[in-house]
Amino acid sequence: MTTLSDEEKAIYEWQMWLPQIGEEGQKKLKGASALVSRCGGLGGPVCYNLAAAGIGRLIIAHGGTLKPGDLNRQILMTHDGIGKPRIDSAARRLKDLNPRMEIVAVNENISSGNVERLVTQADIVFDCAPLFSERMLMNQECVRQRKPMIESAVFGLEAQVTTFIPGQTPCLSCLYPEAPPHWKRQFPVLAAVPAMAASIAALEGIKQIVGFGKSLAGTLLYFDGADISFQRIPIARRPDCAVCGKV
Amino acid sequence: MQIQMNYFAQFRQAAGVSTSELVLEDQATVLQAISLAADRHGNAFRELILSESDQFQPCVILLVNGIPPSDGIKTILKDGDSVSLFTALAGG
Repeated sequence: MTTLSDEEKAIYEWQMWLPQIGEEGQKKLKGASALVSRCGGLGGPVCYNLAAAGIGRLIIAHGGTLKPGDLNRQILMTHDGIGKPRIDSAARRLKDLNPRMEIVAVNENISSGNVERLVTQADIVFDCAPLFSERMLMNQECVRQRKPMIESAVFGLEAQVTTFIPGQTPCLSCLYPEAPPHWKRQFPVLAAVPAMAASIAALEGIKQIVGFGKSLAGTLLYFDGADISFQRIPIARRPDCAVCGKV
Repeated sequence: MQIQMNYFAQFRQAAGVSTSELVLEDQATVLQAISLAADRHGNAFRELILSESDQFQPCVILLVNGIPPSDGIKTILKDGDSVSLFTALAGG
């Protein structure tokens, strides 16, 4: 049974004042494990928000080294980390905020070789990758293992967030039966936009873990930073979906 | 009749505008509106929404008056309708 130390009660006192969370909700967060794919513009602030909320365990998968062009948005990074593994900076920065949290830092991107092992370790998955190949792998494995996946994505000043619950909502392949042929690895982005989307994604995940509020299940939340507008787009399962059609 | 097209993400980037007004024949379909928009906005826009064989790209999110149309691109439009096009996003 998860318990909270006196230090934890002091740290999370202000959020336990939320009737939706309280001490029982805080214990659920402490007992939860989350997988975050990449710790970049989206994944970084997702991790940071989950760490601040007191999640017990974070599994973070991100390979490669930090480049100068990453620093306009990857807020878990530091300037002296250029040329060094991003995952090391992410783990260090998160530990500085929440030293009690267990971090499994994986210096690899999600691939067919690791997705099953990594999703198995998590109660919930946050999809923050910049490539459809990774997102589709995560989606397939989450459907197979029946794990909820919080999906967030950005382009320019626009962002979208939704919550996929296998067997209940559409999955990513219902939304995009094929990977779009014109998506490029590099895209226009300003930090405030993925940070905003990441905060919503983290909140969606916290709601799933603790069990409160109305989720974005079945709704694609679309944000346009040019005029600070939101649209709620209803999304539906495809009965013939190759990934979740039989779930 | 006149309808409004709303463009998001890469559609907006390709078109260079976030909205455009189209004049169509009565009983025109969403596909006809899309084709007209593609003619107006050039090849980069066209390639986002139509394949080489002019098939609608399945990864595009399409709304008519804010909701996914039950008849998809065959939906018949009315004067004053708005059609919104979203490309798939994966930026992270």
